[in-house]
Amino acid sequence: MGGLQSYSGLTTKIREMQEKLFHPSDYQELASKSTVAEAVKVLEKHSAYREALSDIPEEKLHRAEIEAHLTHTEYADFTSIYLFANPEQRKYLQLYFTNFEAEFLRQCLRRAVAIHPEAIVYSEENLTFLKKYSHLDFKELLSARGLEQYVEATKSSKYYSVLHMLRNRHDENAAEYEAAIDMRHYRLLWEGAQKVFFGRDLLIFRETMGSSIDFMNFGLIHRAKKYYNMTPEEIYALIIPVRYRFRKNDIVRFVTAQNTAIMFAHLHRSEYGQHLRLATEDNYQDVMQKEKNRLYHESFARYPYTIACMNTYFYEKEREIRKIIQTLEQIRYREGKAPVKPDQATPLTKSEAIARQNEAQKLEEKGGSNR
Amino acid sequence: MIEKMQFLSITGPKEDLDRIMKQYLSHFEIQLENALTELGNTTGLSAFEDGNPYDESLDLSRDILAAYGDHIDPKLMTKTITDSMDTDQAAKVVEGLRGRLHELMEKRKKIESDLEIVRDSEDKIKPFRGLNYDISKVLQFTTIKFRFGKMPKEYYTKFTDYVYDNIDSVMLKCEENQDYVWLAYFSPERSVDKVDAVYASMHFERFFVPDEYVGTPTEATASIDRHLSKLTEQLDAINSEITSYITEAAPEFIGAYKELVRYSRSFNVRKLAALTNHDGRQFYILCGWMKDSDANKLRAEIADDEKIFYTVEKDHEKLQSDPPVSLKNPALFKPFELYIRMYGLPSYGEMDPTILVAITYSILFGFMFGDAGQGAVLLIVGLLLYKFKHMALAGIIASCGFFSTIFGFLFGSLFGFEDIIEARWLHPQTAMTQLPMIGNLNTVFVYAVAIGMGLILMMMILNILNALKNHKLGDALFSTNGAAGFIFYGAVVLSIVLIMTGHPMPGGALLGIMFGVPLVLIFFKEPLEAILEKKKIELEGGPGMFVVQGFFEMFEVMLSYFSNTLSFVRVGAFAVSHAAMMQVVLMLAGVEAGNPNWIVVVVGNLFVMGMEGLIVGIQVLRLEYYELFSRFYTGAGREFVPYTEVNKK
Repeated sequence: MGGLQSYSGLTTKIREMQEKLFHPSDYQELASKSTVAEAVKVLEKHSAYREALSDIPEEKLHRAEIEAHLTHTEYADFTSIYLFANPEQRKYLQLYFTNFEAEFLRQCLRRAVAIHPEAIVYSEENLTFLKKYSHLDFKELLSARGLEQYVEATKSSKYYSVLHMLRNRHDENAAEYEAAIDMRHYRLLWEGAQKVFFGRDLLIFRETMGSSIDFMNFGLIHRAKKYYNMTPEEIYALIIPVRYRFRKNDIVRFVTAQNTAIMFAHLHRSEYGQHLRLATEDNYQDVMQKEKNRLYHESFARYPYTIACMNTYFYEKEREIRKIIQTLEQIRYREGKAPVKPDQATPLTKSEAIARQNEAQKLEEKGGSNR
Repeated sequence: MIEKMQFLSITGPKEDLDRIMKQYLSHFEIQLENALTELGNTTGLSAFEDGNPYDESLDLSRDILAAYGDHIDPKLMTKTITDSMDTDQAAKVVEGLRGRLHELMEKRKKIESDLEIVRDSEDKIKPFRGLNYDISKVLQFTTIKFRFGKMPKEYYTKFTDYVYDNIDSVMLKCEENQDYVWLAYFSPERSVDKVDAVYASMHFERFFVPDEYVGTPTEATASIDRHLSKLTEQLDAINSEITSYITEAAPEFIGAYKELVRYSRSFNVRKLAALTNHDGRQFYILCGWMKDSDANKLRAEIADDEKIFYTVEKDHEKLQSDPPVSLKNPALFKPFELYIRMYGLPSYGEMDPTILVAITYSILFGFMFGDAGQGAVLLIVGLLLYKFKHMALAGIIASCGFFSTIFGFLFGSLFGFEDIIEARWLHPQTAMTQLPMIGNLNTVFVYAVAIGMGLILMMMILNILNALKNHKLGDALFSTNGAAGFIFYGAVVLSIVLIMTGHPMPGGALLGIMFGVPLVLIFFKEPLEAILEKKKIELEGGPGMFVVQGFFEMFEVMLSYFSNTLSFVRVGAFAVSHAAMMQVVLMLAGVEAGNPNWIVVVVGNLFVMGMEGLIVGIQVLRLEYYELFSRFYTGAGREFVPYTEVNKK
């Protein structure tokens, strides 16, 4: 179980893969380009992206297409690690795979409610990867139009019961469905981890994943209070049903705080207080991002021969992809072209607006600047 | 032998067709041809366009059969119905059955939907079994309101953690599963709206507990169970009523079904028939092939019928379709028709090679597998299988076994023992012949090649006869398997025989004529043929090309004579190898040591019989198909399939 012997090969492999990740100078080079095409040329120099990007024709260089190709490199990494891993290590990978599945479900949901569903691309090779490990009904999901069809398409998944319940309430707000997917995904991830990991592995998973969820919930509560004045019950309904270092009372205090300043006072008094003491309303996302980086890096540095090697690598890889996409978007803005964005389906309602912002926030957190 | 065929055209008034089908054609074998194609050149013909009026009834009866076939005695399907009803009656029977079944099914549906409702109540009430309150009493509370329902787990944990402590409500948790937690909560009337809103925001899904049951949920569940079992009983009752009704109605229904099927079959004959107008009336035309004997019988039967006319077409060349082929051989040779079918049936004008195959196959097999004991076993096993299982292959095995036994006596071999019976002719392994130029050779090899040469010459004769019969004079004279080939090959055989027997060769001039002339004829086959048929000579690619092509073709012809002849060496080789294999078996059994292990002897015999029998069977078949058939046989005939059998498929 665990330990040097069973992890030596995998850890070495992952260290080698880590070498191929971007360095700060790479981001600078990328950001210095003035057109997307040039930036893609820079990416092609990196062995990790060369193959994935070389065959996109120039006229197809829009966000969704590039994103699909970049995502594919993450899938490719997953496959190569999966093939290398032993059965014990694969348990982590199987659990991690549910992230891809949940993301796919979110994408399909957006497709189902979008006016121009073609704007969201799921490339053939990405689908091939997902189909290999997942039992979702891909055909139905991709062809679903409207919430009704979408919910029926999830029938074989573990998300169906909660989505079906929303459907029964005639809830027409897509953001509610997305929030429901998140809630179920993270709950199952959290409960699943308790079942498959023991000892050090479990600690590492809880430390990294638990803190991430705590931070996510804090952000949710902050935005709900600051921008939307939601009632406490509405906020409770929105957050993810997992707590790690936040106590029950911490959450209640955040939600019931009279204003956001008091929220931060409570945050400083929580278990995270010491590490987040510099967090203020303006910079807390950066501070939390850095804290997450620290937790992930530290776990790998201290316990390289545990699941930390995979856990940290995937975290870094995903962050890198988000950052690259963000940089490309910035270049596109500078180019003066309107960015190709997934369609806005319905007028924003309150909680949908939150979910949208939440989504943007997640992007920002994951891809947050490398300052 | 190939059955003689007659081509009959039958015609009569259009509305009489069904009667004709039922009265005459249903008990004769006739292969109907599409009349419109056969009579394609005639004008004023049209196809039948009316649909089967009983199609619907037939579909209906098929549906009933598919749905309730399990309750119908399968014997009924195979039994022939004696008191047949007419088609109209049959349709009525099916219709009546449908009506009664529909009634019963409606009843069943009603019970099933009741069951559904009760099960639903059960599903709703079951999760609350943990509650120890009388539900009907709870329902009468006035100042306290209550709600039953469920909440997704995601929300439940958050609810208990953050919300529950702050609201005016008492919650009772009941059962839970992977996704949901079932809850009941109570709240004072004055604050119930607020509390409801809070629960609703946590996605509490309220439902109404059925109030027709009294007592605690556990008691209510019990009374639901009673209700359920009562309904289930009713369902069983109606199901058995349906089953018994079906079983009772089955004989009549199957009769009706069969009549409908029969009608549909004879109705479908319209697809092959043509219509013609005469004096403002419509007439059908049917045409097809019949065996000679059948046709004569049919003609006698319909001679008295005023409404039916027939003509017989004597000249088959005029027809669109070739006559179909039905083989007719004496019972002894019948099993070998299997091999002919495998290769392809002979064309109508061709010779049926069944008897030839039967004789040569059996003899060659016997020669290669000469063992009196094993042959007798094959003969007996084959005969038994053929008698009881009617397998054609078993008949072939029996016949092979018979000749195997004969050769066993000739070779003096009995279950591999070479010394029990005396060899009437020779021992394949040891008998040698001294030949000039070649040296010492197993006698059986010499005989094998000799047999091969004889067979090849015979096939050539057959080919010549076939060609003459089909008026292909060119083929008969100049082809490699025609007269030219026969003379050449015959000359070669003769020369070899003369050399081997130590006789002097004929003079050079004679040799030149014997070898040279046939080869030249074969070489110029195409132009010679053209001259015979009085056509213009056309050399493809010019004379140069013709010569080059001809040269290589000659080369190939010579090579194939040579290899085809040598191919027969295998006949001798297997005779030797059979003896050798049995020798190995006996050696393993320790026969020479004087104390044989009889189990090994028996198992070894069985093994050799199965293994070598199979190989020899295949090898002889190969000789038949490749060395013999290729010389004279095309096998391009089509099988005679009577209309009644087409329909059964």
